[in-house]
Amino acid sequence: MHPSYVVMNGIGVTFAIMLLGFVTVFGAVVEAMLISGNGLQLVVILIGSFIGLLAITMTISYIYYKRFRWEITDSDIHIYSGILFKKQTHIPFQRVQSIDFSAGIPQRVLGIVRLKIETAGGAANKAAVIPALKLSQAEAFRVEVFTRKKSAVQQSAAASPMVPGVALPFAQPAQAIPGGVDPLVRQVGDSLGGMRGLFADDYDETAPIECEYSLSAKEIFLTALAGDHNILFTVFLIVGLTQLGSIASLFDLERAFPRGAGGVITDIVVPMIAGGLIFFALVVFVSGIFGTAVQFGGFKARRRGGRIEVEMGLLSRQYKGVSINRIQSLEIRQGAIRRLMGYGELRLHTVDTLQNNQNKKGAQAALSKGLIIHPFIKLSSVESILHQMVPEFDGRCTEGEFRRLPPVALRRVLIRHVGIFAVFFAAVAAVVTAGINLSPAEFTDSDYSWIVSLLWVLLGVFTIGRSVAAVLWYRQAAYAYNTGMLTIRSGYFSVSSMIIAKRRIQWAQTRQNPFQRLSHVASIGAVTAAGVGGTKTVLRDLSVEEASAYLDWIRPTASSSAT
Amino acid sequence: MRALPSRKLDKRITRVWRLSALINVVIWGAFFIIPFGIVAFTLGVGGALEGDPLAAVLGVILISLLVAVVAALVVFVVIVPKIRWIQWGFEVLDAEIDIHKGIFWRKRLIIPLIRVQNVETRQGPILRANGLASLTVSTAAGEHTIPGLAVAEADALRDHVAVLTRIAQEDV
Repeated sequence: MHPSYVVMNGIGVTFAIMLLGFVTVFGAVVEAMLISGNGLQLVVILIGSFIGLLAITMTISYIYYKRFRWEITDSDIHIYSGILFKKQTHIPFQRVQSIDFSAGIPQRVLGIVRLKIETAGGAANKAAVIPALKLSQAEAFRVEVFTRKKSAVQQSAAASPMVPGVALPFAQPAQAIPGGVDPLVRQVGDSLGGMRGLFADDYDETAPIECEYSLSAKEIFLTALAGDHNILFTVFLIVGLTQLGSIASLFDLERAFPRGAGGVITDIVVPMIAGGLIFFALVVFVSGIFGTAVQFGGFKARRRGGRIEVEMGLLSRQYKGVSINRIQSLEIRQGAIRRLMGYGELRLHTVDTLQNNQNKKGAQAALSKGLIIHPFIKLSSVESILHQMVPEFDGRCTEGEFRRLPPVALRRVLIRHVGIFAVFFAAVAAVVTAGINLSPAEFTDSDYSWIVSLLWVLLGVFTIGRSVAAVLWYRQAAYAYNTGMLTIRSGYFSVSSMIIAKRRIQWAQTRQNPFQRLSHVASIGAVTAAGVGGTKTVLRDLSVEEASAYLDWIRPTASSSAT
Repeated sequence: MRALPSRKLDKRITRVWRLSALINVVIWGAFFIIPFGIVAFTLGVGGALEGDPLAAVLGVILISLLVAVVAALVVFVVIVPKIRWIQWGFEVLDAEIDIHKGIFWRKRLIIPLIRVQNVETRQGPILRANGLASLTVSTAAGEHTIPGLAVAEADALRDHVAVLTRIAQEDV
């Protein structure tokens, strides 16, 4: 490990502790300072505790650094770490799926990276980390491991002709299946031919780059601008502010402060609040744009030797690589803003591993977003980029193959999104109205009828909004499958297409609730190993026949008898 | 449209479900009724004789709780296991497991055997007492359980599935 770890980790942890301590004892310190009236004391205490803490954390970091060992042996990677709780990690080469780097600003100055080794197998696995390595060392580590992995995989493939040997006897009972070709034998053949058939796994650092692209400054700016949350937030705030004046007058401040105080409030305080909010909104908006721009700055994606590699980050830089055989699904997503501009976003969903300090829930939220391979792409160029980056998905369904939902789905989505909501809201409004009308005269001194009208206006606005969303959902919800691929498209104001290879579907389901049974529809679901512990992609309200046909498509036996 | 999977669970599984539902209902019933019962009796019985309205209210609530527990007993212990057994169907085919289950939300699951990483039989104390075992298949995205099978049947199925899945060598 690189010695800079001692200083970096020491300072980092010290700052973290100081911040935590500062937040918790801040009140007491200020109080003490006010009593003694001596600011110098506080400064001395702060600096003293900083130096003391730094000494302790750096000593601990130094011991950790001294004890930390890693080595690459013939068969696996060994990592020894820990001071009190010692840990030995052995990772066989064949289990290594990807080796990623990341670096903060100070690390980048020094040319140091944090190296993370991800292994196969989903939820139970945790990633191993080497906290600080020189970039050149890390690169060498990666090359070494993947070279050894490759030869290990080849050796085991050559040494064990076990797979076909096992496969043949059990092909016997299956031969009874009508249609000639035994599906088991065929699938075994697939998985042996070209390593793993559809998603071949071989990594070669020296392999030529098959495809590479980066984003221009303009594209990065647009990416930042098109973040849905930014704009939505701003729009809401602006709408709220323009209404602030009327809301203030509704609260009837003049009456609340009879001796002219109301005038002061409406003349000075309201504009002040409004100005503050506008300023706050601007800060949030600009920093949101800036943050996204920094995050995607220097975005580069390439395909090389059976792997997809993505680099990004203007200040702290990330390097993520994923081997093609780990990809579970491809998502073409259009947020509301991107959609208006005719742009979209490409993501790959892969199996994620947990890091030591992550719990399952947090990891699920943080990682299930997938790997963005293009944050801002014109829809017309999606086809060609995908063809170069992930030709594995070339066999995906074409627009003509998509099937829409039956009309009953529209009725159901309207009831679900508008009907139930409107009834509930109307009930609340009715109760409020009744409450105001029936309450004794002394409480209805001021005119509260505006609350009632506000409620009804809100009901109207939400009903229209939700109806539009429901109709949009019905218009774009669709699915398609062909021999090897499934696509499920859905969304309200934004739209997302999830493209899944059939052999990546771990299991599939249809589901019906009592209302769906009445309407003769069912939901379909395809479950892949993406994320931590699997991801289910669901589409509601197919006709029962089509849902059943979908299940038949998943069935290995049925598909063989059909062909 | 394909017919529902025809193989049924062992009938004895309803006994297991009934027993575990009974335990649940009794625990939850006790949880609500015992503290409430103590309050109601200490406060209520005397008061009810004197025509105290609070005692009357307590009595009504206590009685309705008792009714709720009895209703829960009937529904969860007598009716639900029976319906669940009727709805549960499965089939282990040459290349997939087909499951149909659910009372309100009815699910049909297809698990291709080539995706199964692991298969095992499990037996808790209640299952063992009834001579049953459950069969669990794990994929890279979660596991599925066929809950009540005669031990011999579960073992045979496990071995059968294990043989079929040995061919599946997917790594994800």
